[in-house]
Amino acid sequence: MLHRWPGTKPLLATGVAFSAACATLHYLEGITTMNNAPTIVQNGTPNGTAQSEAPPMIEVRGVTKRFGDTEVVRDLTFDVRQGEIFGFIGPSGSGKTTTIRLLTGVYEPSEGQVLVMGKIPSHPSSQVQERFGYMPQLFVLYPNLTVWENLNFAASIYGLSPRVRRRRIKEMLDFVELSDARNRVAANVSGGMQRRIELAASLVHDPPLLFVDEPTAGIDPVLRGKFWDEFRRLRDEGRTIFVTTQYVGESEYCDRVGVIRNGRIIAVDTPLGLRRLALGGDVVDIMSNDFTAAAVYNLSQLPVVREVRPSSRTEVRVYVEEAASAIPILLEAMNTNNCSISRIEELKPSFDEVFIELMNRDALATGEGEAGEGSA
Amino acid sequence: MKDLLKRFTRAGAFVAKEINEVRRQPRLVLSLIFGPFLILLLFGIGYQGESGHLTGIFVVPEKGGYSQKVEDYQKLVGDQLQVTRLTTDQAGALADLRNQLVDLVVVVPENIEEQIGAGSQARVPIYFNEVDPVRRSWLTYLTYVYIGEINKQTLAAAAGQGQENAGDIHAALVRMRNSLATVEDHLQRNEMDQAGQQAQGMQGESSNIQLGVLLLASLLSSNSPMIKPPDGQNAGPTNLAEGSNVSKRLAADVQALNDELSSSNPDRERARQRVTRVREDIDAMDSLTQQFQKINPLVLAAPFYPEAHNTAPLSPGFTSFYAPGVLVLLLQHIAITLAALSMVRERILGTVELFRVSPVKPGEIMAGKYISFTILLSLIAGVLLLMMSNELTIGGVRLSLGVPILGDYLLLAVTLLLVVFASVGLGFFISTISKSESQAVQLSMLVLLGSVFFSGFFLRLETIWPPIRSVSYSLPVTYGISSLQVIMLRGGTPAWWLLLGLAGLGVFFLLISYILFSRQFRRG
Repeated sequence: MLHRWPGTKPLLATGVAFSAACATLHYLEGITTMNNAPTIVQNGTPNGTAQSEAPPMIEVRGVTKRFGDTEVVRDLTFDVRQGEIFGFIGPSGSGKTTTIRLLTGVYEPSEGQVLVMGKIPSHPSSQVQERFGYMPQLFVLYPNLTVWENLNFAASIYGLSPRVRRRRIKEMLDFVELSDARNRVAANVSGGMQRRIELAASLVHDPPLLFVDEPTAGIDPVLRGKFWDEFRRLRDEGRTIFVTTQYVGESEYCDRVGVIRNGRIIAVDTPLGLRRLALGGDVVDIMSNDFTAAAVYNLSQLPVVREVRPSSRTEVRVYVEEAASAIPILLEAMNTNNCSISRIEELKPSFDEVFIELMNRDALATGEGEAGEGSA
Repeated sequence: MKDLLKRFTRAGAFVAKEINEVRRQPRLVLSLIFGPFLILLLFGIGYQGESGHLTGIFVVPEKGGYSQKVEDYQKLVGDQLQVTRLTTDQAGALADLRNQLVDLVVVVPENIEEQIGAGSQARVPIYFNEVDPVRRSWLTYLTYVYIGEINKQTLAAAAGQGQENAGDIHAALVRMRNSLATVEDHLQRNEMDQAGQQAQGMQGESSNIQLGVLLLASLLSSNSPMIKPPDGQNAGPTNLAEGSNVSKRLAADVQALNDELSSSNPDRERARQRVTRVREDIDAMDSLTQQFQKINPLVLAAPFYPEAHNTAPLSPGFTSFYAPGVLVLLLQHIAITLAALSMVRERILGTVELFRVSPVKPGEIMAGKYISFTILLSLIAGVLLLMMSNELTIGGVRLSLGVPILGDYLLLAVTLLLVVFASVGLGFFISTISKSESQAVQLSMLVLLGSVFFSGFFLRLETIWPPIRSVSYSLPVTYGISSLQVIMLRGGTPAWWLLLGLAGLGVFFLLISYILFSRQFRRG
């Protein structure tokens, strides 16, 4: 049973469109890049209920898709584990929708292999297709039908019996809080409601795996927050969700995130792992009026410290492996150097910054220069 | 079993969806049902089936003693052509024709008698100014009709002259009758020589009569045993050939009487018998001559009178005749448009992508749509037939067209179902080759245009060159119109190949659409 749509929850995300974020690249000019190599990192344990040892629902191995001579995605390799929200994030045109179509079997890979629940999706059986739901990027239901008729249609094409259909449609209408609008024609409901009808339609046959293509594109922040709340509820019920988005801030609601750029995956990790990957570790800012050159040097020699970069005469930025364990050591080292600390805090850059950094590094590594608006 | 139920459920999803989508658009429903009916109604009211009266000018020469009265020429050509004026100015009349002020200019030649006297036909130029090929053919046909009428009038005049000649024969017969009475008197008095001399005089009259009959026969050029008597006359059938035979018999009997009387030993009794036979011949000839004189000269000029009998079960008006064609044409067009747009719309809307990732199969989608469109179009056809055929009256206003349905209703329903089946298939085929809605609409309109020209709706199929006729037989409407006309207007059963052709066409379009749609549905 699904939970009700939480209508009174506070705003959770205010994601910035990736392209817009890339335009602020200059903000990060001062940050020292720790690792320029475009290494694909697949790591991390989901921060939700899913376990790292959970069996993969989706396995993607060296998948390339070409349309004619154009290579749209190249050498994709990643797994999606059962019971996790897997975010697939990248700029417009980076290959997100192509990837989701490869996973749902709409497209067949030119190279490599895709397995969904152990089966090749492009050679599907009805049994497998009945076990996943798909919410496309655009509204694809029928504008002249009512909300109820649209859901009835969606349930019917999955072969649900009339009795089950009635029950599931009622549940779904409650779930997306559209019970009152059940008899309204779909063309006459708001854009946000249409997306909710679509979500309900993709879930009406109760699938354990859900593919969602940019569900939050073009909708207001409040509704975006509701969507992510519901994805987490669905995840908590044990469902696996593969979701694409171009709002990088939304990655923090995912258990793991795959970052795609120009048809290549440049990183797969937990949101925290991606932050560390982008910044070369955790960042701790220390403010003191007693900084000396010797004190800064001594800090840089600590084993937990990767690099120390003075920001001003009274502030230094320290890059460490892991902030929680490093801060006590840094405090002790400051004491040892007779430096009183006016403030010490872990710097948590926004995911916009993190992704811009990842994009930028990939662009530099592939010889494209900095990843500006054009590459986004 | 469970899988089969799911298949039905999936196909049923499309049935419900399509019907609901149409139901949600009341204007569409109204236009689908009342649009065709109104078109047919307006056609029935507006179509008169014949062109208006023609107008014409007669160019009549001053010389030649021709009538200068418009009424005389109007009487000659009948009601179809209204003679606006007579003129001697041919150039002016032709200028009016060029300016499309009149439809025809008839030029009466100056030297008719000279031309006929010289043994050639008199040419009567008739001018018209027309670009429409159908109307052009009709006007050309009318010129033959008018000239035929003039020829008839001329022949009637000649026949009148012939009847006057028949008066001469009658006078000769009177003379022969008097001579025969004299012969009888001489025989009575046994004056055989005088009787022989009188009989010799009769032989000359007999030759004159024979010649007169031959002239009449050649003049009228008719040996017909069937000459219709004029109205109000009860002359009975007249046989000119019989007249010729009687005249020959008369000559032979006169010759025999003459031979008897001029023999060396004439027999009085035998001579009397010969006299009796000659009298009978004269009576017969006189009777024939009188009958001939009673005949209307116009009948002699046009001895054959057409009496047309239509053996069809009924003679429908234009609305009734075209109603089956309009019904089939509209059903085909609606079916094609609905089916073509429906599939294209799925692609444009993006639902095909949703179907690809769902368990639904192309065959189930097509089956669902076939069923839903068949239901919708059957409903439309039923309502249209009801409004066309029955005396549907609401508030004292008759809303039906009174189109007859003489045939079997079941057969009618089966035929209409086959038309819908084949047309929906054609619509699906169009959808598989259309990239956009406008392309689908354009192709549907092309099919409609082709149907109007090639289906036999307006032009009979026999008038189309056989190789091109294959276009006709690739359209469901061709089979549908022929079948429905037989069922509705003749009360018969259409030829088996018509229904089989419709079914075959439906299966062909179904298969080809299924193959193409499945290919497009297949994963990229």
